[in-house]
Amino acid sequence: MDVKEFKARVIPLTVKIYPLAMRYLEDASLAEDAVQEIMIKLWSVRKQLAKHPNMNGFALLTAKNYCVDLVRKNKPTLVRDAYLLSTLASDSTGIPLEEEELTNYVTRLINGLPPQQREVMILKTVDGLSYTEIEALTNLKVSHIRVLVSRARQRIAEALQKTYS
Amino acid sequence: MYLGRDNVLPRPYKKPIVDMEKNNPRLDRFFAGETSLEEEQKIYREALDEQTAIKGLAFVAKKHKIVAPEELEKTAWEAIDQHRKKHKKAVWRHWAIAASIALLVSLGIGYLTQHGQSEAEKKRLLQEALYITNTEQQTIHKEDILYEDELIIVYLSE
Repeated sequence: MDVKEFKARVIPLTVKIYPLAMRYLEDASLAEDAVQEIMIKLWSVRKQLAKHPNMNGFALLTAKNYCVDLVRKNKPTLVRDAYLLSTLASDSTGIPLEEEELTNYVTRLINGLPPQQREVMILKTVDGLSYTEIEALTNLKVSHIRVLVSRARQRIAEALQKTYS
Repeated sequence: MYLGRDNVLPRPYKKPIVDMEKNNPRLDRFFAGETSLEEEQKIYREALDEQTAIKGLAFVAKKHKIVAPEELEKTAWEAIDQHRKKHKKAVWRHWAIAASIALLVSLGIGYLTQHGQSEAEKKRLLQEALYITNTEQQTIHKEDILYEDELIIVYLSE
């Protein structure tokens, strides 16, 4: 993989790697530094990367492992659950009350899902990753991930139905 | 009422009870986890008022989406470029060190071959040394002579 190909195929993955780094590191500047280090790592293995059948998945898994290592180095006793959505009130100026209420309610529902369902739901719904990318990150089969996503969506739908009907 | 198709959804199957107003195969696939990212984006965008679950998920995606800084791609490439330059420098340094060592070794070998004694010369000198001791003391027993590398030690007694 030459410079041109790397720039075209790997560098755009920063958009997907950054949210992942932010979930683990919880700090914008740390996440930016991590993305740069991850990109250097990917550059050093660009030959293997070019031949990899799931290049995006490989890159995301490299990013996840790097961030987990970093968290463990800094806080060895605290391995935090990265896949929890913040329920803190954010700036909601201009957002209709109904939308805000529904958003907060669905956020709580997602946070209340079993860990695997929650993880794949956040990766799929919020981070917008594909099934093959999630497969590489979670080490689960695509068919299993589909089942988890399906169950999570149904569970949320049922809870909303109970509340809003 | 919108109900999922039993043959599509994985088991154990529970019928979705929200968004039931229309029989919509696209939503059926959505709840079965079979839609692509593009289809899902479209579903979120086009969510109708009665499609509470889909609207809720779309709002959550919007609220919690973490957007990378605009310059991140550029700074990431700059970091790689810096790394490449450092790597190149290190490679040149290693080559320079290796070349210096090779030069010193070859110079050393050259010096030794020019200034060192040849095997024949060494042999002649040792024979000469033996001959000297033989003339001074006629009785030298074999066990009194100790041969070492390029050296003969002869133990003489009065």
